[in-house]
Amino acid sequence: MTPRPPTSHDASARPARSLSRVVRSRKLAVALIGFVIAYSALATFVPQLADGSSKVASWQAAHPLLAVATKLLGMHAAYGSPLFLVAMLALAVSTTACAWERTQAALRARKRAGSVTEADARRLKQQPHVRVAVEGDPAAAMEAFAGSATAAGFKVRRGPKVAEISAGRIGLFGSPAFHWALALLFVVIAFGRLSRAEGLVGVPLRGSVSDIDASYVTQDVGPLYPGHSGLTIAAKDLVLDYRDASGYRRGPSPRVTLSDRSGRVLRSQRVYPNNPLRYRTLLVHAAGHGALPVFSVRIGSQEATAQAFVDFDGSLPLGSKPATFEFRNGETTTRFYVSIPTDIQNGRRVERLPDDRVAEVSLSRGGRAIATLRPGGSTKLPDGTVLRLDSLGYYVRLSVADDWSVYPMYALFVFGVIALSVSLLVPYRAALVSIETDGGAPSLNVLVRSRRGQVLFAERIESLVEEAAAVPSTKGETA
Amino acid sequence: MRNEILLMWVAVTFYAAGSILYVFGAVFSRKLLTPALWVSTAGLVPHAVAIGIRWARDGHPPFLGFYEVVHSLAFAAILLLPLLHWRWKSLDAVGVFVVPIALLMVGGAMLAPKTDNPITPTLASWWLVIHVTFAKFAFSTLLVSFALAVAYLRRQAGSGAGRFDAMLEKLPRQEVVDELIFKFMSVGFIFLTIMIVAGAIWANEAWGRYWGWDPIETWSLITWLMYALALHLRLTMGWKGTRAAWLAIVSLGFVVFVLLGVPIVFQSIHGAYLKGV
Repeated sequence: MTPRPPTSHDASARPARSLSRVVRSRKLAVALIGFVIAYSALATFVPQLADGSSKVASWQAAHPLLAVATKLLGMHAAYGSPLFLVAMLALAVSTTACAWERTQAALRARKRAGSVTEADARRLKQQPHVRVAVEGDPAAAMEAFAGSATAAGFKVRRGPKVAEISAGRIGLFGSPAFHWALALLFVVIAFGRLSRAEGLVGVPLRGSVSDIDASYVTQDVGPLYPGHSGLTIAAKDLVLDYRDASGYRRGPSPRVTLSDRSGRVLRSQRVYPNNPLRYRTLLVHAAGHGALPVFSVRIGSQEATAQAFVDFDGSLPLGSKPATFEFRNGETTTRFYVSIPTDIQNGRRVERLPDDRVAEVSLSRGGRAIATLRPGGSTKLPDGTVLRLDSLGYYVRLSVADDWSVYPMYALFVFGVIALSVSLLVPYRAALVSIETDGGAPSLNVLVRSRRGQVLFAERIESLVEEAAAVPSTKGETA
Repeated sequence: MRNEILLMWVAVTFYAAGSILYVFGAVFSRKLLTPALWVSTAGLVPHAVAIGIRWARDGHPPFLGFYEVVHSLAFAAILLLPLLHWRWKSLDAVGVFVVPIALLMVGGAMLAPKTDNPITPTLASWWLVIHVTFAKFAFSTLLVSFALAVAYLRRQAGSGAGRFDAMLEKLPRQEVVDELIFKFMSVGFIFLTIMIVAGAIWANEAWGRYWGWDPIETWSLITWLMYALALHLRLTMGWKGTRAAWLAIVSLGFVVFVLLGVPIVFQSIHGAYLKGV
């Protein structure tokens, strides 16, 4: 038969086939995993820009030669660098190809189950894994073997001369399912990150802010993020040392309320670590609390109000980090710094408003403190500006994350763990056992079909066959 | 605290005696392996009581601070030995590697400060128990995989003439040991996966982000990938025997680094669990 001549379809299919071969390559998968391991490990020893650009700069100055390599490899923003992202993309493609291939292999193995191919029959006769001579009647031996295998928990399918024993058929789909879960995780996490928004808002105690761009003090927004919800986030109260129903200390805990535009309350609960407020794709965590001094600034007839978010920090000399607010008068912008000196208890600054409620205010000029004000108190600056502290209360710092991918990711985690466990703990094992006669001497021949070449399984089958082969014949005994 | 420390020293004594019996069993007489197992297992009793006393006092399992973390890892490792004996008596020789390592760990822990560490709001969660328990399960099963790998390679390289080699002969044949290395690595990998998944879910509950490339998170992923690589090489590229054994040995180094090295080497939000809060 003459081979058909190549067609243009064959020529165009060649690059696709080559690409398919590359993508399905086990060596590529191994190489990619190895690269991600090495790159990630090295990156942990290199300061990241997220930890501060000054740290990166001083490291680069101290290691000029290494700095050339780390800059080239993008290691100072390692997990967002093009090199790392390309490797992860390649790994995602490789994982998907692997999942597809394993699914095909599992379907083929499932189809083949219960059947004996010509090649199997030939190998059973000529090159079995195990051959055990039968002492008595071969049919009785096969019967005994089938009974023992069933008692041992295997599934037995009998033919006239061949029996197939198997276990763990569900295990055939464990590996494909696990790889599909991984492939989907890549997709969900990638799109989740691109469309995620996360940031910090400061909410005055007994006040509220809207979930809009302008409310965020800092935020990180993915390029595909559709936009903030516009809901109202309110802080109804704040318990500085909250104890839950079990008596566990949960630290400072605000009661946070989420309302829609019409004022209807959608969710209201106390928020503390491990007890965030959840509403659809939103997750609200308590991220601290601080003082909120509200000032009014008057120059001539002009008056404006300003507030500053002062964070408590017991490790600092005054117990709070200086915050700033600015006031613009024509072309002049004056920046004010404000600190709240907290009380000292057991030699340490506490993280709550001082009993005497004073706020120390200083101007940016010279950094000299200009006034210490109590609520209602005011001070007049040399240029005629009057600065008054209207009120001093608390604010609550909330971390707001908007990420649709979290729950699908949890579901894929659970599915993936189950699939992995099935794949590794319930592997598919199968063997064919046949009665063969070689030169008049009957034997039970075993061909192990298990793809992993499991030694313990093969030994188990061998011992079952040996027990069965030793069963004496009952034929002719009554003659 | 005094009763707890006393009980811990009793446990250390049992583990030390067990280690000596294992070493003598390896060098002189295989018959000492079974008494070595039971002496080491007996040490689990005072150890468990000491853990219980501390748990009742502090209100949380032994998961915080170098002392608690390290000695409870050793507890998990030794706890696996009687289970192994029940299922595979022929693996008793694994104790020769596991018990001395556990003894060093408990001894090291006893030299560390034993301050009571209060549970912080971030740590007060059921996810702490799930995450850390599976970390300990992962460590103990991967340690057994490591021990089997060392035994495999020793038997491969040994002349078979020495007493230690004679003890190793008690283990199943090399092909079976090779398969057991794979099985323990598989189970350890599953535990490692659950540990990482639980950690990610917990991080989201506690901090609002499930992954932040924190050094411990990154090194946990690296360790998981290392074992994924080892399993991949075996299952898809036929890396069995000597190569698989070396992979099991090298990979445990990653586990030890994640559990004990990363909190010391790096500034990490997870560092508190080892350094104490």
